[in-house]
Amino acid sequence: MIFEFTLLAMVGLAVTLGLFAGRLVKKIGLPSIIGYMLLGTIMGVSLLKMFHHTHLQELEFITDIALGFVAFSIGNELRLTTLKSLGRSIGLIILLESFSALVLVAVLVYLVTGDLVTALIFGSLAPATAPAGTVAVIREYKAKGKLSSSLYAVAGFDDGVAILLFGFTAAIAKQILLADAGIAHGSLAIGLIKPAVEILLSLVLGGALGFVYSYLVRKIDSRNNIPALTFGFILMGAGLASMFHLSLILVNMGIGFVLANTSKQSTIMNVNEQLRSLMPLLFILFFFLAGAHLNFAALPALGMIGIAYIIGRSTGKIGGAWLGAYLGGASKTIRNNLGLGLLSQAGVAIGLSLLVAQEFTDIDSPQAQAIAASVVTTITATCIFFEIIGPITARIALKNAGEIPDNSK
Amino acid sequence: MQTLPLIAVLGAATVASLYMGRLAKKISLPSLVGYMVLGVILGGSVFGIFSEDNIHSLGFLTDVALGFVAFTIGSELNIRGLKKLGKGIIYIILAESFAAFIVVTLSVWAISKNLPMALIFGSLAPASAPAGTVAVIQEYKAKGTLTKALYAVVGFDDGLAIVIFGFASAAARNMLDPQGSMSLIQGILQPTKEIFFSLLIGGILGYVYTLLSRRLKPLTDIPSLTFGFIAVAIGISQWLHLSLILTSMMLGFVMTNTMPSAKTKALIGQLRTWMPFLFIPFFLLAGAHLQVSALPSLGILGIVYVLSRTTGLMGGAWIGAKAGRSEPKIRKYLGFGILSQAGVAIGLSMIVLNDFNDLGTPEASSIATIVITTITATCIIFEIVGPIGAKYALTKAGEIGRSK
Repeated sequence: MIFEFTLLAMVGLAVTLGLFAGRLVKKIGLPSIIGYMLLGTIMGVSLLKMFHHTHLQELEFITDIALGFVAFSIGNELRLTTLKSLGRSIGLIILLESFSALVLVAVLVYLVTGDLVTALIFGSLAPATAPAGTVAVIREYKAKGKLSSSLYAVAGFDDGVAILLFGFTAAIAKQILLADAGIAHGSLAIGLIKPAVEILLSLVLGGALGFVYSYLVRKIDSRNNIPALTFGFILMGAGLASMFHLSLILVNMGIGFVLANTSKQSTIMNVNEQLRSLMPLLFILFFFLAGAHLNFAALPALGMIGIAYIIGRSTGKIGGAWLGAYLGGASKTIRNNLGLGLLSQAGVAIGLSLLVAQEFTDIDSPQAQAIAASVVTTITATCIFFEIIGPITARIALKNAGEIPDNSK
Repeated sequence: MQTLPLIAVLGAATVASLYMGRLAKKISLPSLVGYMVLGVILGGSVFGIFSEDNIHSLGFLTDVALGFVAFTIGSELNIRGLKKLGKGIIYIILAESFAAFIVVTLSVWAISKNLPMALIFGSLAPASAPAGTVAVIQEYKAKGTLTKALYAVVGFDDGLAIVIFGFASAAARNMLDPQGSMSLIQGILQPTKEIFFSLLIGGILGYVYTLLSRRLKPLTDIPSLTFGFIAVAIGISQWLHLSLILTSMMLGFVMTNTMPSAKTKALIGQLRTWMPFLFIPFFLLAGAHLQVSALPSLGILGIVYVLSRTTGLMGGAWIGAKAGRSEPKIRKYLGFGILSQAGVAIGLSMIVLNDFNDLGTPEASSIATIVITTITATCIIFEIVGPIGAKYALTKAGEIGRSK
């Protein structure tokens, strides 16, 4: 019991100290969330161990709720009119940045290991982006403009494409592996259909919740009730997503998207205004916990595969976004900067790598066992890199594009 | 099929509560009665959707909400305002608490002829539940001297309740203890220490909070800072077995009296937008806790407790206000606003259960069992009657604006 009590006190301490860590790093020109993460790292499993694994597990619901809010606010920023004015370039950008990350990582990892299955598995994990870092930076600097809107759109929808690409590629890799090992294998079709169904159901669920939510928000008589209503729906979205193994990000994005596109401007503003006071607190908790999770013991596992993965993914994201923007006729600002805003990678990628490990340990072949053993540690190590570098490059991108107002340094 | 994850249940319950609250308001009851009723329906008593396990793992939500309530109370008590209420407020707090203690002790003693048991029931009577009163004040945006007085009374009253409980339960334990080993002095020292340290820690935290807040932006940073400090205050209180209510209240009290008033106002305004949303899970869970099946065990003892506690609190508040020359509306209506009783009383009766079972005599154990079932049952009544009484008091005193 005692430990549970101290946990609340420690969460309070983390928030308070986090606030000041954020200000400290801001002084040297870094986004506050880097400060939250560093503090988390110091207090977390790697260094002081004030927060250890049992604690973090108990606090996991905070991460889910925060991610739900992030996804909701992404959806909320995506007006159909804005999306249309961004044009078809957005679609091309999302496809190309995801696809080139996959291809480049797969090629580089293949060159390093000479193993096709390993290459495909790592490639399949490369497209996933962590939207929270990008969104937090946009909000902190109150960035506004075409790049900011595009980043919302790309970081949000990206999750759907990433799941699809992961599902397809991992299924193919598994088939190759099973065929090589001479084990009887199921049909490839099921492996391909599953991710498509997952995305479809996520969007349907998010859309349905979104319509009910928007209806209720419109009917509500007192503004005081909006936070509770929003909170309730985001929790439902997160809970149902985890129950049916759907994408938490897509479901909650769907709720926000429907609200943004079916309601009056004044209603949307109302919801946003009420969220704004809560978001900073959620960001502190979210990135503190992300930092506390970071296990530096994993860094040596980086190895050659990890380095290939980092280079391939960064080049793929930046190059792919450039190419997509070029082909879609987007402005030069977007072409040159968008990829920099997409480098964060965290929870989703680690989650997918756990999935791989789980499936592959069940396969009776030494190659599968080797992949299962290395994929989680390598991805964890590269995520440390991307979690820290992602928000920094996102800020650089927004600054280059001139979308950070002068008064909000 | 897998069971619905807790977080989805909580989300759905939050949304449903909103509408139950509106329903309650239609029949002119405070919204929180609606939240509680939904909690009862979803909780162990009827559907069991919120199992004991679920309620237990959401316990931290109740603590956080209670911390915020106490912080709000403290932040409403600026010294200038308190001076305006005059010493009347001190008389009221003393009189209502002691009157409740004495009237309940005598009444229970009259029907049971069991002095230790009467003392225990008496010692539990002063504890009030501030959340119900505060929620009603905020929902109806009440303003005025009665409102101020209610904040002060439900806040400080917790300290006095702990002292009275500490003394009386120590005395009762002494009577029952075959060895008589437990010294009365210890019974007095323990609660005094508890209150002293609660106020001390709350005060220190409040002071540091003000120092830190000077360098922060009011709108984006201060809410996070507030959350952080309230969580620390709660965590330390639980860890050292102090009063969560007093610690958090002291935090808010020091804040409001040391921070520039513009900043305080901005913060209180922000808290107001988020409070309704803490009240929903709080009263929902409070409702889910209520064991409606405990009601039949109310019996004569329970009825006597309910009636004598009500009489004691209302009579005591009247006498205190009279003696301290408070305004007529405070004298007439304050007693109606302080009837809520919930978590603190149940918590104290759990302590009784623990201590008395340790004594190892059959009489002590049977008293402990009677106490905990009766208090649980009477809390159901006070939790529902309390907010309704508070609304009645504020309406009668004309402190609820016309625009509902």
